[in-house]
Amino acid sequence: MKGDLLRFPGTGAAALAALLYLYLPILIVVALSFNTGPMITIWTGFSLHWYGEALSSEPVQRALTNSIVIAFAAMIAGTLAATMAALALSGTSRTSLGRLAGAAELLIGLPLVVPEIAAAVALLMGFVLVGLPLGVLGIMAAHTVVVIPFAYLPIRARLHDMDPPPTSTPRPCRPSAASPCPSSGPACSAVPCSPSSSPSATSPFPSSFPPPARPRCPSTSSA
Amino acid sequence: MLLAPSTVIVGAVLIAPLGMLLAISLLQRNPNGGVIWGSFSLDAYTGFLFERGFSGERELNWDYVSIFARSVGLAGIATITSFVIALPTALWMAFQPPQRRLLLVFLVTLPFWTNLLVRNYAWILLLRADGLIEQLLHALGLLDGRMGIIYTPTATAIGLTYSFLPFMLLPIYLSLEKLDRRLIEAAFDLGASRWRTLARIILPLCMPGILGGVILVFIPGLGAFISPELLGGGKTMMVGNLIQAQFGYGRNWPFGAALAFVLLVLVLAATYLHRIRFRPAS
Amino acid sequence: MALSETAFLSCRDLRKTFGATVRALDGVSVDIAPGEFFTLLGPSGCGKTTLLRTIAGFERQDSGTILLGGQPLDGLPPYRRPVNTVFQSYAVFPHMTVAQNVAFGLEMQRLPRPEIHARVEAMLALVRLAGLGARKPNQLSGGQQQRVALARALANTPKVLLLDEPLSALDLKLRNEMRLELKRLQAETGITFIFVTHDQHEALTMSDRVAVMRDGRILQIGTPAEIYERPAFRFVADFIGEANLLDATRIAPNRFRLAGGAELDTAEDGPETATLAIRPERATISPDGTIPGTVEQIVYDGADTTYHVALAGGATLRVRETNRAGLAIRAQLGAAIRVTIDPAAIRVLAE
Repeated sequence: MKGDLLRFPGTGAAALAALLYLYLPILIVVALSFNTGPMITIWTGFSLHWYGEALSSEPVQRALTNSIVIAFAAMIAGTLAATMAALALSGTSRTSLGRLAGAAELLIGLPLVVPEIAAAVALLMGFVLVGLPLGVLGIMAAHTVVVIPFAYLPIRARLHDMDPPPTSTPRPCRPSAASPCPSSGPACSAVPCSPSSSPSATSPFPSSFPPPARPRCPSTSSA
Repeated sequence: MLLAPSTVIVGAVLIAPLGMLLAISLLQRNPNGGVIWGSFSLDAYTGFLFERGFSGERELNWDYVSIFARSVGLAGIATITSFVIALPTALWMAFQPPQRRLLLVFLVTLPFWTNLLVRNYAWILLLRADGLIEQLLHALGLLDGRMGIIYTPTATAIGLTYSFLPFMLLPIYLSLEKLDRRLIEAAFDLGASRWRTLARIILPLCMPGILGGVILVFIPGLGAFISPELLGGGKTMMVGNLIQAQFGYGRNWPFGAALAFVLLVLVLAATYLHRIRFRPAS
Repeated sequence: MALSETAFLSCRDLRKTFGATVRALDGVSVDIAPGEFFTLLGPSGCGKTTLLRTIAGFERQDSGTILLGGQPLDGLPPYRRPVNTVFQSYAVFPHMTVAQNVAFGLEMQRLPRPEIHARVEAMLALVRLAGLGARKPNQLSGGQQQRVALARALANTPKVLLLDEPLSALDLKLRNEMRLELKRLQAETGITFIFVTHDQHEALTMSDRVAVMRDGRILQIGTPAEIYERPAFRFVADFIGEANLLDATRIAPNRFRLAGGAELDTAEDGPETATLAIRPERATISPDGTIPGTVEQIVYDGADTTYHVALAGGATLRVRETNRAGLAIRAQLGAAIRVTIDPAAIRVLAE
C-alpha cells in the first residue's frame, strides 16, 4: 500500500517546520560567527577574524585541550569497560551469572536515568568529602560513568543478535509460510502466538536510541 | 571478571556518591559552609516547606514550592509543545521510503551532538533585545518596541522545548516505524478513513512510544538548569538551578542534597512505572 | 472470451508494473459471477496477490478498469470499496478484543450500538468463536485468530470477500478443517469469495471456478474439472495435479508418434509438433497396450501405486493404479510391459 494512502495532510509542512526549528538556531550561530564587528547580531561583514581570536586565546586553547583529552579518556575507558561488561553479560557467560546479570545491567544503566544535576552534586560531595582535588581527573571519571551505558547498550544489542537462541525457549512460529516446508518451526495453529514479526531491531540504529545525555530505560524493547 | 571495571566505575563514581548525597541531606548545615558531621536533621527536607520565623515557629514558606511548581509547569509546557511538534513530524517521517527515513533520523539526531550551551545561546541571540527576531520584526514593521521575551518563563519554555524535542520525536518515530503496516491496511479495508485509522489504530498502538517521549522530556525538563539559567535570567529559577545554587553561593549542602535526592527518586519512580507498564505488553 | 455485461466483478485488461521491469499484471481480464467461490491459483510471483490487492484498493493499476456491479472501483480508496479482505497474516488488531475487532467495520459505518452488538454475536457464532469475544488476540491460537479475521471481514457484509492465502500458515489437519469451514461460510452467506492460493489441492477442492495465473497473466479459467481434465497449456497441465508430458509429432489426423516410436490415437487433433498431456491415472498397464516400456520404479502410496515406465526414446510415463483390492503389484521391476491410454484422455497441447 503505497504513497498517497499513507500521507496525512499537514504532516509534511509540520516536519519541515520542525527541522527548520531544530537547525535554524545552530545555523544562525554558525553564520554569525563569521561576523566582522563586535556586536554579534548586527552584521557588519564577513570575516574569519573571530576564529583567529578564539583559537589563539590561551584560555580557549586550554579549555579545548581539556575537553578533547577528557573526551578521549572517557571514551576509551568507558568503551573498554562497557565492552567487557557486554561480553560478560551475553550468552553463556550471562546465564552462568544468573540473577546477578540483571542486577549488573541495572547498575550499568543507572547513569542514564539519574538526572545530571543530581549526579553532578553527588560527585561534587563525594570528591570534597573524600578529599580528592576537583579537576580534570574528576571530570574524566564522571564522563566515563556516562559513557559506559551509552556504549554498553548498542554493543549488548549486537551481541544479542549474534547469539544463537537458547534451546529452552520455544521457537517462534511462522504465521506466513511462503514455502510449504514444515521444517522451519511449528505453524501457528496450536501454539498461541501473534503473527507479527519478532521485535529484534534490524535497522542500523540500535534499539537504544536516542543516544546522548538523557534518561533511557536500559531495556531493549520499548514498543 | 569482565564485569569488574564497569561495575566498579559506576559503583564508585555514581552509586557511592549518591549514597553520600543521601547522607549529607540528613545532616545539619554548618553556617560557615559545609556540614556538621555526626549530626542528624531533617531540616533539609522540611526546609522545603517551612522555615523558622523570627519568633522561632514554623511558617509555611511558599518560595521553594513555587519554584517547584514552576519547574513542573515549564517542564509540562515543554512536554506538550514538543509533543505537538513531534507527532506530525514523526508521522511524516515514518511513512517515507526507507532510504529517506535513515537520512531523516540522522538529521534529527545531529543537533543533539551540538553542545547544549551553544544551542541555548543561539536562542539568546534570537530572542534578546535587538536580537535577530526583533530586528526582523522591526524591519517588517510588525513591531515597535521591545519584544520582551528574553529572561522570562516563555524564553525558558522555548529553550526547554528546543533542547528536548529530539527526545520526544525519536521514541514516537520508532514506535510508528515498527508499526505493522498491514494493520493499517486492515483498518482501511474495513472502512476507516485515514484520520479514523490514525485515531483508532495508529495512535493507540504507538502509546508506548508516546509515553516514552513524554517521560524523556518531562523528567529531564524538571531537572534542567541550562535553559532556565541562560534564557530565563535570574527570574525563572527551576529546581535544577536551585540545587546548583545550594552548592554555590547558597551554601546549604543538605538542602541541595535533599532536593537532588527527591528529584532522583521521582525520576526513578517514573522510569520504573513506565517499565512495568510496558514490559508485559511487549 | 466475451466479457459479460451482467458479470458481478469484472476486471478489464489490468496492467501494473512495479519499478521499471517487474510486470505484476500483464493484461488481466476476468469476470466473476455473484456468489461464486473463485480461486486465483499460481506459483509465487504470478501476480495473484497483486490482482487481489488491486481489487481491494491497496494498489492502483497502471491501466485497465475494475467494475463491481457495473460501477467502476478505480480511484476509490480501500475504505470506500464494498470489498473486504482476509489477510495472510490475519492483521488482527492486537490492542482490541475479539469482539472489538469484529465490530470495527460496523463502527466505521456508524451503526447503532445494539445492532453492532447483535451482528458481532452473530458473526462470532458463524465462525464458531462464540463466547470468546472478550479475549485478546494474543490469547488465541493461529487458527482462532484467522477466524477472527474472517468474522471481522464478513461482518461488514461486503459484496466481495478477498482471501489472501489464508490457509498457508495452518498445519495440515487444521487446513483441511478450514477448507470445509470456508466452503460452508461461503454457502451460508452467499458472498462472492475470491480466494488466492498456490496450493492446487485447495483450488480444486474448494472452488466453483479457478483462474490459473503465471507471470502476470491468466492462462486459463474454468471449473476444477475443466482445468484438470482439459488443461490448455503445458504449464497448467503440470501445475495442477500430475501429468505426463510427452513430446510427439503428428503423423495423421488424430494420430501422433512419440519420440520412441510408439503411436497413439487421440480424440482431438493438433499441430505438427505437440505435447501430449496424460494423467497418470488414465493410463493402464495391459498386455495389449499400444505403448511398450520397462518398469523403472514402483512407488506405493497407500491408496494407489505408481509405476514409472521408461519408454523407448528416453521419456518416462507414470502410470497410476488404484489399489482397489489392496496392494497388488501389476508388474515387476524391470519387466517389459505395455501401456494403454484411452484416446479421449489424451490432451493435445500446442507447445
